[in-house]
Amino acid sequence: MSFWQEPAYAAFWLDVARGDLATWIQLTPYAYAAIESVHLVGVAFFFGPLFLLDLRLLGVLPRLLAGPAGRLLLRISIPAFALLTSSGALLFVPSADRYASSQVFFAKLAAMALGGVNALVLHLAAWRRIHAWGSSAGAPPAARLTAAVSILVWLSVIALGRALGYERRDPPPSDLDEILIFEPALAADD
Amino acid sequence: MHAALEAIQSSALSLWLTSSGSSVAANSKQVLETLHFIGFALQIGAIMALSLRLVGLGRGVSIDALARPVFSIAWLAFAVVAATGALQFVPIATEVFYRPSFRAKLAVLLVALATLVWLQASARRGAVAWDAAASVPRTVKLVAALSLLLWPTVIVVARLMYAFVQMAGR
Repeated sequence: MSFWQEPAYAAFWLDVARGDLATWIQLTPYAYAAIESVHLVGVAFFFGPLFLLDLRLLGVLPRLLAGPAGRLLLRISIPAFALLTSSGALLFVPSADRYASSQVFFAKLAAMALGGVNALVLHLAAWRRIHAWGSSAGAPPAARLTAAVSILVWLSVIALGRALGYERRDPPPSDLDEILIFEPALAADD
Repeated sequence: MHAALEAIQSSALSLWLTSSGSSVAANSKQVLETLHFIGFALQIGAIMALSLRLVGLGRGVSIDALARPVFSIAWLAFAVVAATGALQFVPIATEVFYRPSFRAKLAVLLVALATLVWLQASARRGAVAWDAAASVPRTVKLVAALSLLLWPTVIVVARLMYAFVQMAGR
C-alpha cells in the first residue's frame, strides 16, 4: 500500500477538500474558472520566456546576449512561477482528496521537481560563469543539455496538467452523499 | 449561416472527432486541448517577453535581436493555436457560434492580433534605431502595454467560454 493510501493521509485531504476554502471556491460563481484563468495566464508568462532562454542556450538565437536576455526572461518567468504555484494550490484544494491519490498529479509534481533540479544544475554548472561565455553565440555543453531537458520537462508538465482533467474519477466515498444531495438545492437558490 | 454551421457539425471530420472508434479519435479532445495550451503558452509568452522589453524592462537586451525570434515563434505557435482551436470548434459549431463569450473571445483576439501586426511592422522599421538610441517611441510603448493587457484577456475570456460550454453539457 502506497503512503497516500494510508487512511489518516486520505482523511486529511478529504478534510481539505470539504473545508471552508474548498466550499467557497466551489460555491462562488466563476471562482474556479477565474483561478484557472490566472493559472493559464501564468503558464504563458512562465513557459514562453523560458522557452526563449532555452533556445538561446541551445545556440538558436546567437544575436541575443545570454546575460541580459537571461536576466530579463527570468524576471518574467520566476514571478510567473510564483503565480502558478499559488493559483495551482487553490485549484488543488477543492479536489485535494482526488489529486492526493492521483498518479497523474504525482507525475506532474515529479516532473516539476525535475525541472527545478535541472534549473539548479544550469545555475551551478554554467550560469555562474556567464561572463565568460555570455557574449559568444554558443553556450557550454552543460547549458545546452539543461536547455533541452527544460523544454521537454515543461512541455510534459503542461501535458500532465491537462491530463489531470481527463483522469478517471473514482466514485466519491459513500458519506459524501449528504453533500451531493444538498447541492441541487444550493444551485436552485441562485 | 446556420446551415453552414450544421454542415460543419455533421461533417465526417466532426463525426470522427466525437467517435470513440480509434484511440486517437477517443482522445482527440484532450490532445487538441494540450496542443492548444502549449501553442498559446509559447505564442503569448513570447509576445509578453517582447512587450515587457518594449515598455522598459531589461534595457540591456537588444530589441532587434529579441523581436525576430519572438515574432517567428508567435506566428508559428499561433498557427497551431488556430488549427487546434478550429478543430475544437467543429463538433460544437452550432451551439458555440452564438455564444456571447465566443464572440467576445474572437473580438479581443482580433484586437490583440492587430497590436501584434502593428508591433511587428514598427519593429521591422525601427528596432535597430530604438536599440541605438536606447529608447522606444511612446506610441510603441503604448501599443506594447495594450498587448500586455489584451493577450491575457484572451486567455481569461477563453476560459470563461469553456466554462459556459461545459455548463451546456459539452
